[in-house]
Amino acid sequence: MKKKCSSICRRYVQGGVPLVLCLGLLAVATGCEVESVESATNAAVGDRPADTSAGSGSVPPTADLEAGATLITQNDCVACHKLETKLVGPAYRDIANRYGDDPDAPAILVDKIRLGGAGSWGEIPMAPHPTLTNDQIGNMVAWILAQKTNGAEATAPVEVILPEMGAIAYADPARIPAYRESEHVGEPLAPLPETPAIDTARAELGRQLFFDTRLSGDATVSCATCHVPDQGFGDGQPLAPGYPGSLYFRNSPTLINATLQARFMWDGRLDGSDPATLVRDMITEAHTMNVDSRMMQERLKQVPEYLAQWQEIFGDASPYGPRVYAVVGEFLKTIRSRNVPFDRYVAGETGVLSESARRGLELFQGKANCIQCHNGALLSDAGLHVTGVPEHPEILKSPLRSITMLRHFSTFGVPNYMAYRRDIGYYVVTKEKADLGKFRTAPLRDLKYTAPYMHNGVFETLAEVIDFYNAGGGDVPNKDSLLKPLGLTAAEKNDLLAFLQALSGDSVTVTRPERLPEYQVREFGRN
Amino acid sequence: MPVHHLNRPGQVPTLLPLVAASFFVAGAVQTQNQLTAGYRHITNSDCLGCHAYDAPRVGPAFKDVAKRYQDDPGAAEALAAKIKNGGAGNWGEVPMIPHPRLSDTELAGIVRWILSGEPPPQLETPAPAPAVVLPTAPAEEVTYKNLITVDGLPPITHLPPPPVPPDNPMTVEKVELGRKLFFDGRLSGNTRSSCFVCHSPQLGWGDGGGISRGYPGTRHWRNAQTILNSAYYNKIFWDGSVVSLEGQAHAAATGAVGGNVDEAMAEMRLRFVPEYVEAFRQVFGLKQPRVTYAWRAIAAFERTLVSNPKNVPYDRYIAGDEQALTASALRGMKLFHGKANCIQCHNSPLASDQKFYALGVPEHELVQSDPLAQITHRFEQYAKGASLDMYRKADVDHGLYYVTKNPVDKGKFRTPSLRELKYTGPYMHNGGFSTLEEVVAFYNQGGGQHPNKSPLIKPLQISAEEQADLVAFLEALSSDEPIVTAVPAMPDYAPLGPSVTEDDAQ
Repeated sequence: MKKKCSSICRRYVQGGVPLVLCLGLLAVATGCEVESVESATNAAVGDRPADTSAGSGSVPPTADLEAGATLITQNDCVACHKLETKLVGPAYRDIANRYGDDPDAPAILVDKIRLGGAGSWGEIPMAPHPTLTNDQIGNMVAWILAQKTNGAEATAPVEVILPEMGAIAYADPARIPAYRESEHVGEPLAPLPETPAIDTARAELGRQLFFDTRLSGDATVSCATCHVPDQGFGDGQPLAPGYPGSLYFRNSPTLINATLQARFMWDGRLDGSDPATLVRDMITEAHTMNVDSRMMQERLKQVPEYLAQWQEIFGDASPYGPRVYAVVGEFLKTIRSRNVPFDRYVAGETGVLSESARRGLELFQGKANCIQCHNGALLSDAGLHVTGVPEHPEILKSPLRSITMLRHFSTFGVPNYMAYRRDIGYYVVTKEKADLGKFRTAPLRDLKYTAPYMHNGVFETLAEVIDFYNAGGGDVPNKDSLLKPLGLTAAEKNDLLAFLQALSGDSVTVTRPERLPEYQVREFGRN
Repeated sequence: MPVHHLNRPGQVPTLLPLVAASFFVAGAVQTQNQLTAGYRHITNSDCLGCHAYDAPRVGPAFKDVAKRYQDDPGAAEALAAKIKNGGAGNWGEVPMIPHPRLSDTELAGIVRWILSGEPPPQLETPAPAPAVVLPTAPAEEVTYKNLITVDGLPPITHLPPPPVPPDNPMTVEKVELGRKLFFDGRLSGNTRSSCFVCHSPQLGWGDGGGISRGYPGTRHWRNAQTILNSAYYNKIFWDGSVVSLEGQAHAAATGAVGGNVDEAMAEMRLRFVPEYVEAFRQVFGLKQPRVTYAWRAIAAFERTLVSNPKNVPYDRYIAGDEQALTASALRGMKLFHGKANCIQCHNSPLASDQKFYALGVPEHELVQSDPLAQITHRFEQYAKGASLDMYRKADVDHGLYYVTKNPVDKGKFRTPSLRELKYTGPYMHNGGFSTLEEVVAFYNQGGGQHPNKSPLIKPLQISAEEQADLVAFLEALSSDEPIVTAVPAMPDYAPLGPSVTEDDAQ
């Protein structure tokens, strides 16, 4: 017979641990039998009345954790939530850790489950559940809140993490196997360069703004909507969604190491040395965040928590456009690969690359000839090439995606832009026929986190990408002459894959601000 | 029913059960009729501008509403109140617009159909497409029998047909296109903020609020003016910043607190709607829709939204119908032209001299209490090029000054028309007054405080009874029934065909 949780919990409760938490924790950890909170509470605290007054009016005093757990598995919750990891919605544990100490939490969560809505954890709205009774929801909330981990287990909030500067020594060239110098056109492979000096205060403010939806026209999307930290700073979709009412026609690229690139955007149209301009374009472009930058400025002025930071950083509290772009750009500099096996290998840790990955490295620089374009520290030549990646069929099927594509061509002054039925890439900049379908060479770091691949996300896996290059790329007249069928064996493809995987380091993420700092009414004449 | 019909093969088996069914479940048939009647109210109002049965649009899908409230006994009452009063919060941040003019019967019918969860019934006679009537001059010259004239001021006679710019002549097809575009959210940034959202036919072609709602994530800073008779203004917006309805459509659609749309995006969206491609070709002779022509079509549509003298008590009275005005309205008419001196500015057929005056209308209280209103106040000072000092204070709307940058124009706003007031409250440039009684009381006290206040504005010293008479007269300047139009069905997007080869493009 299983032991009653309450009997185990009793001494913890006497020691000040909230009973509900203790019950849940034990139930999860030990599988002990959970009885009703009421009886357990009474057993634990003797004659003292159960403290259900603190804002927990919506959770029935007889909360039944087991019933709550059952309800959660029987309803549609599991489609979007898991205990430990974020799916569509947040992990139960994260919810419990955020709200565990908040006396209003039960009431808030009961309302959220019943009514649905967005805003606490992101823009994806929670579905409403109008058919559940109050008691049912109360039990579910009790179970969710019981998933709180104790302080030691909870991860400390991560704010801006500055990359370690110079932690990896520059490569000993001898460790990078020789490649055919005569045919090679770019830089040798190398570890990431040292991080440039980063202004922490600016980067921290930039981090907050990165998540602030008020930087978009209708105040519903932020940078993090399409560059989700937990999705490799992309969005995990082949094609990005874009501003409400629109759908974008290219993949949301990762921001990891983005500021080290010589060019921004898939079509390479922006100068990589100027992240602020990239930020400006994304915030003000009609198909991304569509904000009038003056409106953005005035909104930010209405947020006292930001004003203090502007004051601190710039000496006056004026959040005008270029400053917003600059601080978000500063934040982007902090998003860098961490602890990459390949870098450690280059620095001398031979064991971090498997045999297979090391064979892959040879292939990368030899038979497969990836090094021709994927070279240097980012494994990108910063160049533009026609590889003939197939069009994503959705772009022509979906009017909303065709609209953003042709509008993009029109705003770049492409002659007869209505005639195009494919993505013409860098052509929008030069209008030279040779540039039709030319795209920026993508960096190859942290690919583990950044699927799907290519400018239109048409390949879901790296194996597909390797197959594409093994076949000599796509079928377009102006394809880059570097692309030829490679004749790789299955084993060689696996080795190449192993090497590509060794280019991914630890997960790179950043903590979302707990909440959006609120607007406040200002006094007149103090503006 | 002729007997021989019953003898036809195949008729009997179908008729008998029908008769039996109607006998036993008369209540159900009644309900179906009620549902159909309820749905008819839906099509007659503006509901379909924001809602569809099976998919969310600006607002939630009707079937989702039915599903959410299926077990809620209080739902019918709550829903009726929601439709009547509007408000946000149940389904998202976009507020429902209020519908104060729906009767209790209409509300009950609408709610009954929504909560039934039934798909839209086939209406026997589909709501007739409103015939587009292009305003024309009357066949005969009108002789005004009861007109009051004041020396030196143009009298309020019948509205002539509105002026039409020579580069945008009116055609029925253009007006029809404009009517669709007026309701089409694709001319706004998020595709959910069409002209209609702030200029609803059911709310006197305004949005029923004091300060207009504005684009999601913002709040406007002025009242959404009625579209009715806007065709006659030579300057549009409260500060007269544009000079044509075409310019107004462009400015409102692209403004950050209006439609917030990028014109290249709006244009490309139109090009993916085959019905529009065809309509722009027919109406304007264009190969592809162009957004500047969309503004023209909308303006042409708006030029049809004018008061018809036949429907306005005041117009019937001055043409000789002695019974058209009540005794109170008649007394009000004399006050208007005499003691109250309204005619000084509210003259000519439009009941507006189209000039600009400072009255000292107090700023809306939201400027003191609402962060979004404060944000917009600063935004507007900044966007309109006010001085740094004005920007720093940003608590006052300086009106005409933003256009002229002449300090004597601070606080001046264009005299609005007094026609159709019955349907177009709240009043004044910031919607600060909810009722005409408040407006009259404001003038009776000699207006508000402002350094540039017009010397024409003086205390009137008219009695409460006289104020009521004035209001009765003002209401007699409105059509008997509100001028409305049905919400047109929105044409769909379609993928591009392979009609043009890329080689043609180069």
